[in-house]
Amino acid sequence: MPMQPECDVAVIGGGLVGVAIACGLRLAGVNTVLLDEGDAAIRASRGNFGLVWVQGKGDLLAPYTPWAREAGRVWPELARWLKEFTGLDVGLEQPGGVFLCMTEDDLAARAAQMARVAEQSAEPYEYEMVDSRRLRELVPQVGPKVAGASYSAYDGQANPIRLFRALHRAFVQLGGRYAPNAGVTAIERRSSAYRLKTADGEWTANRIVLASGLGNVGLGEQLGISIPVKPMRGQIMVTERLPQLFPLVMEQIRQTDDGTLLIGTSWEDVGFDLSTSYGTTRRIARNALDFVPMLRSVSVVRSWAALRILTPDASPIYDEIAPGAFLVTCHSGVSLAGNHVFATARWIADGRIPQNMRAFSRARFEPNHQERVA
Amino acid sequence: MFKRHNNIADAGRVEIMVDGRPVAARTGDTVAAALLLADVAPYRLTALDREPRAPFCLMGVCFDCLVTIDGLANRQACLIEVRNGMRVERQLGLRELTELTP
Repeated sequence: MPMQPECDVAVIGGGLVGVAIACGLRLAGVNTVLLDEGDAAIRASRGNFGLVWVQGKGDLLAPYTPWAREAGRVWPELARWLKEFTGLDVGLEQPGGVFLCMTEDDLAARAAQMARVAEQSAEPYEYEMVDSRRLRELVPQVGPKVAGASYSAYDGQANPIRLFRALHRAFVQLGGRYAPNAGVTAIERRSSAYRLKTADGEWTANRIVLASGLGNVGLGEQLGISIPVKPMRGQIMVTERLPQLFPLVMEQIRQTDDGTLLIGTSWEDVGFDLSTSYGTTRRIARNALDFVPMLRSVSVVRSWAALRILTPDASPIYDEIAPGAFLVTCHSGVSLAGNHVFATARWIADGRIPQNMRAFSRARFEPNHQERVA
Repeated sequence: MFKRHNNIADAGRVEIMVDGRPVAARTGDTVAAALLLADVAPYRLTALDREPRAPFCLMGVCFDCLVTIDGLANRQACLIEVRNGMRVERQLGLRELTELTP
């Protein structure tokens, strides 16, 4: 007979989203177990680019804009706490960021998107569209072919792998129970609790959090709920270590605190194919040389692909999809980490998602949603 | 510290420049072997912590033999044979990147 430990909350999924919420639940004193898959899991947290990014978020869902700003504001507190509590420096820097636009058309489209975000924002939203000359004052390494950029002081970066490790360490230090190799295979709703079958025994929990990224689709089906997320592949190339180069963070090329450059950006709708491809990496490399010509003499040492977890409006979902079953999914597990630790976990501890977060529910994707709200 | 075994008498002699100073080597030597035989020390300092390192595996996997060769940084010296007149620079810490856009 497998053991059936009782716990108040079972968080399903040990990636950045799940572990952040699990940490927050422990901070709130909630008896929490974190059920994780094994090393072979498809894990966006392992492939993350590491931006702590605010600008542009919310153009398709207005409430995402203040949520992303709040995330940027609480990040320093998260980094400070993790350093003190775990000894790990997650490398947070928030010097401001630019989204590079190669052509005048790209720049115009970006300007329209940023204007939409700013217009929807209830609080003042500061950003600047910069032309080629002004951009090169901000980041002297940018090449002359680049038309311009959007700049915002809100943006930054962190070390996503160290963040991942620090959150896991914090969770265990806080007395949380971490169950590896315990991917959930079945969810069964009992009268007032959930019974979870995992690859490593069964658990019962009063409440559950679905934080399994793309795996949430299958978990949702267990509860009869369709969850509209799909994989969107991103490929990243990594260079040899270099001296710190850039005064700001760029959305397309980021330098880690260890000196390597991470180079994106690609969006490929290819299902669960995690391979890298010659055509895409070549395009990324060619763009990178236009963005920053001095990279000509820099070697790429590795590359990888990861799957973003994307909703139709590229914004998170926070929802209670069945009594006591909370869904959390986003494609910005790093940017939103502080919010998930300090706010989202509180909602789950309290057992309800606040009224002002209703806009993030999955109901927004149902047909006729606008009409019903109106 | 290192000594040449199986000295092949008729191996050609080449001269490479290491940090601007001539170092004698033989045809077929790898750059790593040439530097070790010349007692170049420290061979390199690591990029972040500036710890001394020297070639370890001599077969292309450990990346502890990195040097700049003819202006190209982070070359694996254990996989590259010496050529007469080759310019080798040790990397003491991070490689440099100074060229700015025109």
